[in-house]
Amino acid sequence: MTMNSETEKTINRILVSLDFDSSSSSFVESMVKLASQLDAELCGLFIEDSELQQVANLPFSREITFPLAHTRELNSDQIARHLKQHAEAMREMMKNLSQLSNVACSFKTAKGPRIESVLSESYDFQVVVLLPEKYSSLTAKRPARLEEIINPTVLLYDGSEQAQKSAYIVKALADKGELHQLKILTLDYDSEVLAKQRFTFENVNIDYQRINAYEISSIIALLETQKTGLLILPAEDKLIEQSEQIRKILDALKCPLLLVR
Amino acid sequence: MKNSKLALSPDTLYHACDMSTLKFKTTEELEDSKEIIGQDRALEALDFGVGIKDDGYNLFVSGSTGLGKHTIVKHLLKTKAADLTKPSDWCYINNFEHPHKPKVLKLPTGYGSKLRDDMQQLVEDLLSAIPSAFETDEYNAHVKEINDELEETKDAAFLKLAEKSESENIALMRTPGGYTLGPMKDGKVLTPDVFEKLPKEEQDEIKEKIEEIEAEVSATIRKLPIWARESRNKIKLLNREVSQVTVEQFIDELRVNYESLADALAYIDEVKNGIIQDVDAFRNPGGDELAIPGMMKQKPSFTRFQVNVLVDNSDTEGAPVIYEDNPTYNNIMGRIEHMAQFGTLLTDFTLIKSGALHRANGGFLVFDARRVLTSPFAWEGLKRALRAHEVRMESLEKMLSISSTISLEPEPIPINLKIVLTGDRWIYYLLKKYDPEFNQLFKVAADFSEEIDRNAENTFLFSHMIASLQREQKFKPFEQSAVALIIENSSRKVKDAEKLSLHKGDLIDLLREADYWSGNSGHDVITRDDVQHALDTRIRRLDQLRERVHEQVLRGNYLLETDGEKVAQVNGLSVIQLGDYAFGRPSRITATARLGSGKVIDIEREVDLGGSIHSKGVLILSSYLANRYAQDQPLSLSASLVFEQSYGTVEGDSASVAELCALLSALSKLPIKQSFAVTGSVNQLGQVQAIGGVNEKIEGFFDICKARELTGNQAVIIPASNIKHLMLHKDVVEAVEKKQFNVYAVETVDQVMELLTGKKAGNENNKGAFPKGTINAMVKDQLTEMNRKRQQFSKQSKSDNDDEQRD
Repeated sequence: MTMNSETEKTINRILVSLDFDSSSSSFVESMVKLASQLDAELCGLFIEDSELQQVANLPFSREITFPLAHTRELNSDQIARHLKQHAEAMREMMKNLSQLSNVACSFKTAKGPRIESVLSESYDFQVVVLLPEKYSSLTAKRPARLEEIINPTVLLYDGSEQAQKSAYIVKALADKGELHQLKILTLDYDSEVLAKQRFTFENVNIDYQRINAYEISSIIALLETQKTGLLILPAEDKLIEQSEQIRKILDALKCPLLLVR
Repeated sequence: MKNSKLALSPDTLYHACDMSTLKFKTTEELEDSKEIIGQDRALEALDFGVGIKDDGYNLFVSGSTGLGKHTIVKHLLKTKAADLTKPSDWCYINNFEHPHKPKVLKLPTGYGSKLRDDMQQLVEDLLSAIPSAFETDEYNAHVKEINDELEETKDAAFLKLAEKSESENIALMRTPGGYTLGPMKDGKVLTPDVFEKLPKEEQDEIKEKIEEIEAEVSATIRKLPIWARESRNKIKLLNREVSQVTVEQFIDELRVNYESLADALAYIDEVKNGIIQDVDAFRNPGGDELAIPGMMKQKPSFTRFQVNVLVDNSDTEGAPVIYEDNPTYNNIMGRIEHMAQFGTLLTDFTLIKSGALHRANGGFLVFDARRVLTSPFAWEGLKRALRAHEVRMESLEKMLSISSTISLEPEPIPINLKIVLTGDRWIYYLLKKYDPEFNQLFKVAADFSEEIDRNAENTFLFSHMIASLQREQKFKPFEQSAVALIIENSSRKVKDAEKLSLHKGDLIDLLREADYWSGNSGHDVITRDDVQHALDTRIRRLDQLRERVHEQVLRGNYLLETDGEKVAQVNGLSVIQLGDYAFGRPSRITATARLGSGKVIDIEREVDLGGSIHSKGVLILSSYLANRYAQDQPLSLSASLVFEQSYGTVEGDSASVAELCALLSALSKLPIKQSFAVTGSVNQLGQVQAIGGVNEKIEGFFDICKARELTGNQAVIIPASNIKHLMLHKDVVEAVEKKQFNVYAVETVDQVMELLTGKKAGNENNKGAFPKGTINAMVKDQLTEMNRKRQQFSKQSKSDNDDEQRD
């Protein structure tokens, strides 16, 4: 691939949102690998979902256990205890895996709505990774290995600075042999021509598709019927204002979302 | 008195070979012996036993060690076996339903090893073919389709639940342990404060909705394992189809080779199903990645698809002839070995080892009877197998409850073979008497002869046998005179000048030793002197005790006179047997006679040093005495007989003539010539009967006389019926030739007494009286006198008693 050198090495910090449901060591390992390949620092953010705490505080709240389907009472202390245990386990796991890969690593916890919490913490990060949430995450098999997660990768290329950074990420993954399938969404003919000049990987199938505007509804409409491994979107500075849009994407496409700032 | 009629001529003392029957210079000129000499009876029995196919007609080959039974039996069986068809191969294979009960597979000769190799190749082929089949895009696509279907089903179910709950303003949320539901308004979960402020009716409505959705969530979660199982079953089915297609390709190729063998085909089909069922082992032959730390990684084992060829007859010529030298239970019946793994003893059908019964199945199995009988459980195991016509393998440890390790119960193997037991005659008769099953299982006795008649024909055959052995053992050729001496020695060996010994073992030893001495002497051929030297040195090696015994006599420690005369004292002869070597020992026998009630006391018997046969001899001579001299009066004597200076047991009746002579001398007061020694047994009629060891006995007395000086008066009296047994040493024969020594052969006690006393014995006239002055008359007179005295003594005693009573 050919790319302007001024855009290279612009990814220094990656924020990964974690919850009790993303505690698979394989997923964390993949994120560590991603950070290693981008030579960036990785920060895990464990979200203690405030809505869950609220429900747990209701006097009649109950939990339907998995996989036995028993019903038992739920209280906020119990939820808090469990979340704390999960957070601690993930901190330890991330620390160990990062040390093995020689990746700088940090870990923090936050309380509040998931997406909003992540976005509020994301200002110092060039890349933010979010996972789909809610009901589907219980049963749906989450991809764990990096190769599974990123194939196919869908990248929206609008020619912006964030899009250039996205291209850098994709290059790094392609160079390491992890990426095999890439879909590039463009907004117009010019950006498609530009993209075709920039993305010339070997051993990667590249497919170009065009959307009318950089609108979440357009993206969902296009990708809903297609398989998407990882969605990379250029993000505006005020990401917090887009939380609803982000939730829509995650709920609709059920794939990890990588926001590039 | 000299009775030249009874004296034996030198030629009767040693039955030399008729050299006209040995028409050769050396054995090189003789052809190999083409027939087995003197064993016609045994060979007929063997031929019959081998030929008859019915149950229980196993053979017991009897005869003493050294007759060459094994060699003859082996040769005969191999000849017979060569004409029989090769038996089948026998294999043990895995029982896929009950692995602890391995199955038996009978295959035509040569197919056992072929199937074993084919199965090994099949496993190797499948280990590469099956993983390849599961790595195809087509297979992966199928698996993905099934997994996606499952995910879609689950997603759809939860999506439906989510949509329904959202429509009811209820939030469906994940918890660390499952799901929870909470009230929602405008897309946000209500806080407890807000909820509390809601009207009671609305709260109840929300709770009702939540309960309803909870039930649906529970129902959906319960369905998840069912969907997962269905999905797994689909994958299993897919795996089965994929593996079946792969396996069948190889199996079909294999089946072609065994088309006509139904059992083999059935086994191949079982293997096919086994592989398909256990296809994961082939997909992942490296084993489970999560091995226990510190322990060996467990790799899948494919031994269940192996073939254990228990008996491979592909290299057998005709039927097998097996000689089991160490017939232990395990060596006969086979055994199940174990392997130690992590401190546990494990086994499987591949560790089943064949026994002699398996290897000899369809042919012949030869055992040494004594070894089978002395090996624990071997005899019972053998009989059980013969009775049941099958070999059922049971480990001894299990039978005796010594070990409780996992063991196998292999399917028994049917057997059809001949057992040939070899052993001494006494074993045969003991088994006949004490083991009823022996009679049913070993109906054919092949009794090997110990000796054959020494006639011209057999002498000729014997010389051929010597020639064969000489060539077989790579000895130097034997001269004609050497062969003659060997034949003569063979007669001496069986203690009969008219017989030849069939003990091949002894014969070979003598040939070998003669060959050795011949080599030492630098001879090109083995001469008579070499053979004689071998015989002499053999005696020399063994006769130290004989020398010591004779030394005791010559030094006067052991009293024995060889000249002069003595009343009631006679030289008897006995034989001491030391293993293979025997020598004669002269003994002084004395008798005393006194007034008594007719009882002859055998002092040896009184002190338990006399055997029952010896006692019988003494009783017979008492009976003779009464019959000959006391027909018309009571036998009023009491006599004692003893072997002087005898400190060991005395057995046999060969001294009964000597004992009788001592007693007759004691009665008649006639002295007995001490230059004579007597051997022979006597019957009630006074006839002298044959005894054993005549050569050694004569030589024993001769050696003493020779050491003291041969006077020409010294002699040994033997029974006339023993003349045919005479094969005396050269020095005895030469002394007789020079009239320095004599051997007399007698038929009656009277003849013995005449020789010993020099007086006439005297024949009884029709009135029962003997001529005056004869030995018998003197004996009778003495007995009459003793009777008179006894009667007188009785009267006196009675008179004394009456007087006492009157007083």
